[in-house]
Amino acid sequence: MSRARSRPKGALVLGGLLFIQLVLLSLQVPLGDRPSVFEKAVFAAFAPLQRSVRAVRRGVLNVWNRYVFLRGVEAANRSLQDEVVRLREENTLLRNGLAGLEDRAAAEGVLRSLGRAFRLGSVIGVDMGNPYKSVVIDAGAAEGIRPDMPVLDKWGRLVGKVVAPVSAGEAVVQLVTDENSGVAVATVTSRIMGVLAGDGANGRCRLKYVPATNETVKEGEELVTSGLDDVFPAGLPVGIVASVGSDILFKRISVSPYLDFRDLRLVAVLLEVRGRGD
Amino acid sequence: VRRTIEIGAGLLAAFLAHSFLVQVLPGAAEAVDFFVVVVLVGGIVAGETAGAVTGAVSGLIVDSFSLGVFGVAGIALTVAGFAAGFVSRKIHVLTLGRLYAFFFVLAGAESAFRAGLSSVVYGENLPWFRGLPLLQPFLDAGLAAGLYFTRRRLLARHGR
Repeated sequence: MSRARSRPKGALVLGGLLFIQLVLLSLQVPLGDRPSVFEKAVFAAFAPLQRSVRAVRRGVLNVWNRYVFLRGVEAANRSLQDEVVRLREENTLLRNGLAGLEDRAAAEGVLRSLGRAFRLGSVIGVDMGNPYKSVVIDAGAAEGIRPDMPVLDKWGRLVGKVVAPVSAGEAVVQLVTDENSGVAVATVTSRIMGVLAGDGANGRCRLKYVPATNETVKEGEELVTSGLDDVFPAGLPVGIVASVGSDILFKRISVSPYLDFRDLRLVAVLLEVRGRGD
Repeated sequence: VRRTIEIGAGLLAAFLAHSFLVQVLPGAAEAVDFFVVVVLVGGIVAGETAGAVTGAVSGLIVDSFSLGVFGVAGIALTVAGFAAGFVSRKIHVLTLGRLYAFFFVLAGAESAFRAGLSSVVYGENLPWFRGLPLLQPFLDAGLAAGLYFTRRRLLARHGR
């Protein structure tokens, strides 16, 4: 009797859940790219967990590198003089600390040369559906981060822009490799304008809307932002033309972005955006 | 209440495991979906209603951390959770081999359904990632079967 009752109940729950999610889907039609309040709330609730995972990982690595591993080194070198061991340990710790400081200091030095206010942030999560679409960083509205702010890597090269949702301590960055991103760019030597979009799958980009009759774009040419979109300031390095083909109306241009996923741990968000009028 | 806590802990563990995996091995995250594992095991352990709810909650989390349309993963996971609970009561899935086959079929169907739904919503095919997503049903089924089997043996050992 209870099983007979539970079947219609289960079907009702399934129907209800599907209905709610279909409503959620349809609600996004008038919202466009803006996330719903519900989506923002779930993001805000779970984003700190990603930060915790990073902290735990760092803690475990610290324990391993600085305690377990060094204990092994001490055991293996027990016959050596205490003074030599102590100095070696100290030297290793100092070198590791210096490397970290140099990395951050080098990034700050490069980014300061751009002459713009910026906020450094660490990548704490990657898009769960497609890693080439977006990342989550540990800087948010509390640090003045807002949607549409450009994001650069530690060498001052374009990574993407901040998109909603932005919580108090975390923000989502849409990468230039996302197929829905659009960046107004120009080639450095031939000054050909176009729109850069991601190919969405391979971590590469496409340069769109360059007429097929244009013969000046060559492989190896560098692309920088043109500033015409009023989102990204002009002159930010974006990538290099990897191949040039032709379709009926437009060129088929593949671009290797400078964005390096293996080195994408530290990013800078430009806080003052002035775009074309710069 | 115990099952609710188990499923809640499973979802939390899936989220943490995914977050950890993308930081350590970014490419591997396309080959395994921990949320599918929790939803399928949740469905078979707690029944179709709990499976559907687990799927819906998992979908909310996945969609919140992915640019795109909110609800696509949710619908696929909801149906998968419901199907896991409903079908497991109709057929014999007690041995490890049958369990793996059952989870493999469901994980494969969930992947295919989500890919189809994404194609309809986005109007284009999902990224290929050098074929890594094709490994998902194999790995998800292995993890789910192992998790369910281990849980059952632990409960049997403790006489519950």
